[in-house]
Amino acid sequence: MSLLNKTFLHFEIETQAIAIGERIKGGTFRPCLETIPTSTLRGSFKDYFGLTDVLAIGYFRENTYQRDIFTYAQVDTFLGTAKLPISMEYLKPADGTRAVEADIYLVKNKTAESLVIMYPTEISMGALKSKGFGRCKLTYRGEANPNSKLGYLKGCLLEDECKAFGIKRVIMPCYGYLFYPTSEISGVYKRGLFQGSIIEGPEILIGKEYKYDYKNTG
Amino acid sequence: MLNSQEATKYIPDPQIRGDVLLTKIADGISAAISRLELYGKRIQKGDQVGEGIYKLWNTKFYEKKRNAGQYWSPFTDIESLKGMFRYIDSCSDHQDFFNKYGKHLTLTPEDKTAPGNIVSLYTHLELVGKIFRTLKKHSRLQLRNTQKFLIYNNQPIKSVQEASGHIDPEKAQGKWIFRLVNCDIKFSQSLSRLQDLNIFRKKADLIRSFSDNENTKDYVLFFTDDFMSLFIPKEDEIQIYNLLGTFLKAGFIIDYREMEAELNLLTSSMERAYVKFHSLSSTRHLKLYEKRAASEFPQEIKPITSRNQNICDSCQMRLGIERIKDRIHEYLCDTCYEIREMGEPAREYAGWDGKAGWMKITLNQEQLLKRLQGLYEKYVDTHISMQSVNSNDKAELKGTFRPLAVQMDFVKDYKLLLQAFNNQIYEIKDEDGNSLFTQENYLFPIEGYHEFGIFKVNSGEDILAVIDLFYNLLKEYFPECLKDSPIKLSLSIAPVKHPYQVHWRFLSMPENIINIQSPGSLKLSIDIDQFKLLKDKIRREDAKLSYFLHRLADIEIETKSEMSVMLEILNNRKKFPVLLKLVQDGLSVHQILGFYKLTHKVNVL
Repeated sequence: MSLLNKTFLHFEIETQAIAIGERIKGGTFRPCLETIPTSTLRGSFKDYFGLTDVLAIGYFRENTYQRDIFTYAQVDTFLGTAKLPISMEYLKPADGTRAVEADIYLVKNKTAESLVIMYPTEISMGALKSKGFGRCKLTYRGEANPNSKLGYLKGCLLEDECKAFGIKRVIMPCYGYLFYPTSEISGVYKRGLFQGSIIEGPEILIGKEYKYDYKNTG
Repeated sequence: MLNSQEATKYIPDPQIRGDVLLTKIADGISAAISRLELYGKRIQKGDQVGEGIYKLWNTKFYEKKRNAGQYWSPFTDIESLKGMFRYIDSCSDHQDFFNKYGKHLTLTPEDKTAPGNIVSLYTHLELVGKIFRTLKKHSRLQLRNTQKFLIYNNQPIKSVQEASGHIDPEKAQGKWIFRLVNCDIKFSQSLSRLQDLNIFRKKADLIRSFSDNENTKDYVLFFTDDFMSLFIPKEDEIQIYNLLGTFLKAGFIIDYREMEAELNLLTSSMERAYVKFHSLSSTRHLKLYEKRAASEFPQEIKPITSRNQNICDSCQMRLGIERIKDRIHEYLCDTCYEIREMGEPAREYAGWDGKAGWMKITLNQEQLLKRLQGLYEKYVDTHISMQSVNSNDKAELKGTFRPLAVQMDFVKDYKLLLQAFNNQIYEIKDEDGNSLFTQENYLFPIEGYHEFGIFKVNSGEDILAVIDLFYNLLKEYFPECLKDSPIKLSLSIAPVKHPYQVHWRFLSMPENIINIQSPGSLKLSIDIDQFKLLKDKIRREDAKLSYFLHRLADIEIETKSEMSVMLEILNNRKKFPVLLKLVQDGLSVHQILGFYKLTHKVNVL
């Protein structure tokens, strides 16, 4: 483990119901992620604070949430009819807990610092905001100067964000795709590193440590 | 050995001498208890325990077979012994020999002396054969000056030790480096329609064809429906991406743990060996990697509205095109669409109403290795036949244990358990003597894939019957694993239309031996003792207990205080002592109540 010259701003969020979803499956079911990808946070900070160059990643705290299903029928506004009902998975507080909690880490820069205020503020993220999902209380917790560590990535981020997050090398990528808007109405899916990837980088990004050999390939 | 006078005298043909040398190398790697005497170690082993195999997880196995009239030896007199040798001379190949004598070979231990009597001769021969053929395929005999050498990966050898190295990691290095690769075969698709279950058929078909293919079958030491253990040469001889190309082309992702080492350091208990190796200051070759093999994924997937293209809804890894079925629009890539088109598994399910149970039996290979090590150490430390062995020799025997062949035997029994589950599920009778399950209400959606089933839940009795059968079979095939079993059962119970992906997510991550969920109301992971308590005590109790459990659940909700609940249980410990035991074991009142409701005759969840 070595010191990494990278500073993060640590925030905490609390919410009563949140659905950071994948694409709808079979036209009927939308599963929910258990981490907060950089793409979700980028959209949220842009919508709420107008900030475009904030880079952040988040993870829900274990034992603070449980999954549940919310069923709703989308309305076809053109035809004025309801579509087939969709079962949307979301996270709600685990039994005996007050709220779903998550840790959010922002790469420190001038824009991110503007969010460092001493009182909590509210933002929204994820799906079905109009139905009250995804309302989060955002609280600043302090700066984090993590050490560098070798291990399994906890969250999801784009490949081209690795350097900005202080990831020194990717030993085993587990790929997935995250949406990246290219305009107000369109975007592309960019390749990203998902949970389980083996990386060397800031310990705040890492769950279990990797203890075996690796080849220097990238 | 290859050029020794004695070997040349008795085996003049150098090709046959080469084969004998390779067989000896293969035998050394395959042995569960290292051939320590070859390395000058005089280890005192235990006594001869008995005639038959001693299975670590089923110690009375041979005794039961013997009582049923079976016997380890195929010959009982000189004439039948001669007959066996005549057969060996005349049989067409090893498979022919296994077919005739297999039944006896599975009862015969590789070594009759404790603790070497834990592997069947069948498995040992099978393993030696596979390793021999792989070594032979990748080596060649060459004359250099006047000496014969076997060459693999530009490394010439003429003796076992030169190839494999010393058994002690701090002694002589071996020249031949091979790999043991444990592959978990995974997929990124979601299960949203019944046709998506075809992914299991595709996976099972590929594993079977890989294990039967003439070019690859000897690399496969053993396999289950989602796991393969391979013995292969170094990367510059065989590349994983090429070897497993058919899996990758079909969209599967292979997470593998690869041990690359000198032959005598290679073992399936990779983590243990790695930690031990690194605690020494050895310069020998032993590497351990975790890797992933998958097909190429593009940097970017660009939705093209005008061509109705978007990222695939199912795998989210490739570009999909719009497909419309039953007025539902979906974007599916060719790989996922092809899976949908493979047929209609579990067709009956679509006609069910009410509740269904999704069932999965899983073998956790990592846990299996730990369990085998534990059972073996217990055998060495405590078995009566090992009493005369001193503690240093016991430590040596434990430290050099290589579980690969034992693991193979275990997997064979695991497959027998699955087959028995598949057969016996239809033999369970209800109170009136009728079959509780039929081919119409208990489905194994993929033929030959016995780990996974779906059944219609009419009452709590059905759920309990499935768990009971699993428990009884575990007790029959793996009685020594009841406390800490690497074989697990998961059940997910929900209305028929409940999203399949929710079931699968739960089924694929079992936490304890028995795992049950009823989404939204119950999640329970318990061991066998807890199951027996819940089944025999809680379920059989009268309405008083039901009332009391409901009261506790109310207290839990109202006070959000575990202390208040505990106090109430303590106050009533004389009336319901078993409840105190379960709560002290970590189960919540909510979970106990959930189990009570779920397995009640009239299912109330």
